[in-house]
Amino acid sequence: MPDLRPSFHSDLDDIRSSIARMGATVVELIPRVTDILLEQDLEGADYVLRADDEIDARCLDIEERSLSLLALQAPVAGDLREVASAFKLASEMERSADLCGNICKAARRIYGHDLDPKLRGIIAKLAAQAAKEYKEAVEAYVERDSARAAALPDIDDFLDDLHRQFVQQILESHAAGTIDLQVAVQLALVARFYERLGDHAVGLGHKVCYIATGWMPESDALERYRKRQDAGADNA
Amino acid sequence: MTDKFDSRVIVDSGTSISDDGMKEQIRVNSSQIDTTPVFDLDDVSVFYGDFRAVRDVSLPIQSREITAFIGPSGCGKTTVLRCLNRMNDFIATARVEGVIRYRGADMYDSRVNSTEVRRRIGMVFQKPNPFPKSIFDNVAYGPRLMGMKKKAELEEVVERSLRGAALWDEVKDRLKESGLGLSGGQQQRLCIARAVAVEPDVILMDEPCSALDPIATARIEELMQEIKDRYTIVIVTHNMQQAARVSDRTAFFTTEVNDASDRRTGVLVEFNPTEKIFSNPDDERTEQYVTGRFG
Amino acid sequence: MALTTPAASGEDARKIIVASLHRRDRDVRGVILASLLLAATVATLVVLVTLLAQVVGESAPYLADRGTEFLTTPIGSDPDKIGIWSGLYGSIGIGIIVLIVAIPMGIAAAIYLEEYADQTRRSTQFILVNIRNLAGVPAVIYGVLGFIIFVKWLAPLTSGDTVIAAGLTMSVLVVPIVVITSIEAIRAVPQGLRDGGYGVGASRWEVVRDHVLPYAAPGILTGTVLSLARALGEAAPLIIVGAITGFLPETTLTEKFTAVPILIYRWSGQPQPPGSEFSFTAAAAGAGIVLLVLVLFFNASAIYLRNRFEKVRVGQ
Repeated sequence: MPDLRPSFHSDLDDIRSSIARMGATVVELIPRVTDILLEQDLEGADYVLRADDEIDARCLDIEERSLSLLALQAPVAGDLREVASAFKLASEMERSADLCGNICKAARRIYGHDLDPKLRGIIAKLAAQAAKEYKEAVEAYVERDSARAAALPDIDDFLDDLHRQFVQQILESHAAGTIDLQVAVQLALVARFYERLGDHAVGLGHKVCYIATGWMPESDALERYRKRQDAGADNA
Repeated sequence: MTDKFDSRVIVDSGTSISDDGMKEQIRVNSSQIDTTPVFDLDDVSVFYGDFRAVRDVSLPIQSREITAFIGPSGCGKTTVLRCLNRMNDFIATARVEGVIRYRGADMYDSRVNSTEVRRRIGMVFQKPNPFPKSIFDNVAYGPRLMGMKKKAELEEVVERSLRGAALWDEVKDRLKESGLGLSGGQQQRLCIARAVAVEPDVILMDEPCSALDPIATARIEELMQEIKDRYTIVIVTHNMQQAARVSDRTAFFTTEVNDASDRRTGVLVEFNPTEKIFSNPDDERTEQYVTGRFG
Repeated sequence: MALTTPAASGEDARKIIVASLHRRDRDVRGVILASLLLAATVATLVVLVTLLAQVVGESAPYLADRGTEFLTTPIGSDPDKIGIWSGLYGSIGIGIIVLIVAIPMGIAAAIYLEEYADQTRRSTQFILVNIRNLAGVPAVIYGVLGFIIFVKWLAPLTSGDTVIAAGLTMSVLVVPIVVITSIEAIRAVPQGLRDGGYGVGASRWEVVRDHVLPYAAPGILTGTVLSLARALGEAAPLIIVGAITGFLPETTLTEKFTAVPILIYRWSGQPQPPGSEFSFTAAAAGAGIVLLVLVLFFNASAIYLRNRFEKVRVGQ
């Protein structure tokens, strides 16, 4: 099949690669900031926080290129869904990078306070699961595999379990006195950050489904809403 | 049209759809929600001699909507359009198989008078073709054929039609000048006014903007939106963006190479609301065509 | 030599480009061809002008002397006293009959063949081919045809060898020309015009009457003129049909007749009788001038009418 718009499709492919690369960056960042947290590496934290500017710039670049493609090339059908998703995906990945930055900030705040091995263990597991989930989402995007993406919510359930375990452990550790209130609060926030990263991965998966099939989970919500409206109207 | 016209019938004696009866039916239909399709094509194929140019076309065309036919060249979209008002009759070897119904009546029944068909289903062509007459006479031609003679009536029809084609303000002071003296876009609007003057039910447009510049094109697309509550419009266009802009429903045709004869036969691939065709089409071939991955 | 981008830049480049643009190759073959075409045109003109000069020279003194009497006097034996009235009567009669019979018939046939007949059927093509062939049949044959049918068989209708029979004969001769030129004129009508008519619900006849014929009118008129000129100029068929070359006492539609070309033919050979001032040759030349003027008049009116129609066609 001859491609009639090779330069446009090449530009579209470039945007896809940029998004995939941003995803890979986040996937690398998760274990990196986890180490920074566990090792209390102030220099590392500094470095990551400054490097966030570069990630913001890359996100902006993706958005600008997508806008340009919309204006100049009038994409339709699958191409349109890809370009429309690019805005959301870039923005979500930028937020994911920010979350990693927040973990670094938390590392700074608990500097000097040791963490007991149980806590450290769960943090490591949480980080590994979050990174795995995010990687799965990015790979599903690259492969355009909506089946893999559809499996993400189930993987996320496991992350949510770990999150609950972590919060439980924080309470126990605080009750046992191994960590003080300030540290406990920071760790609770950190727990939240990892859980949010998992949510972002699920969001990525939703977009992969949307690009492939045109269906979004919001469509289900809309259906339910409409059904309730109709039922409500009938009853009125 | 006033009562002064002869009431002629599409099909004599057999099916009595008189002229007034037709208008009555249309009035009645428009007042309710019009769900009966204006055209219903059922397994239609068009042949030129032995060569099958288009095959297996089945689709309904809804009333007071704009339906677009898109597809690569040679896919049969113009052929199918011209069947809708029996213009293909003028090609000696053309033959239609399958059934084309217009408001329920079989258009190719042997008792059908094709001139009556074309009074109700008008056509605007790719290259603007005003008659070499004055602007007034161009628009008045159709009504005069129908028997309208009084000057006042004709003037009223001409003004109404030119207004309806968004041309009145530009030409009202020079109605006696030749239609050929207008610009391309104006000429095409004159052709639309001419078609509208006989108060058709349907207007068929065969690539109406392909000979025009972008501004003239935009005006005509705007015009289509304005008049679509009064006429059913079917438009053939090779400009996908135009189909996306103006139409409510789109039919995508493509060509298949016939291995035996090495000639291409057109086939209907998908017929859906325009929004679906351009955001999430059902058929992979449609997706490839609209995204330009295949011409 | 192709124009290549000069390796130099700036002023040097400009000089190179100017030199190459100003170069004039000697297009020898072009010049020779143009000269040959010019020569052919000149030769044609020279021949025509010579002929014309001959005839005019021959006839000028004669016509100057005779004046309009030449037109109104019947034929006789004294060149000083003869006139072409009889011939004029016959030619005009033939012209009118051709106008009434052949032109409408030819145009109608052309309309049928181009607008109504099925172009893909072999019978239609067969008819067209035959009509084209008929246009090429020598005029003498039509004379024989006319003699047998119009003079003999239809004698009750035509009263034998009369202007009526001659007119009908020339009509038959001329019909193929009318048909062919009308067909060409109708073919030249753009299909868009017909489509426009059909698009607003006109019937086939309405499209022909309101759009095709007005547009084709100039071409059809040209065909009309051509055929009239042919009809007025032919001599051979008229001789066979029975045009009189000698004395003709009276001119009516139902008696013997003659025509101007016949007179020219007759007078050209006759020796000058002793005692007359002018020769028969001069009279023949005079008749030739009259015929020329007649044909030119028809041509001019047709051109005028054609221009009128064409103005409407392009929208003035």
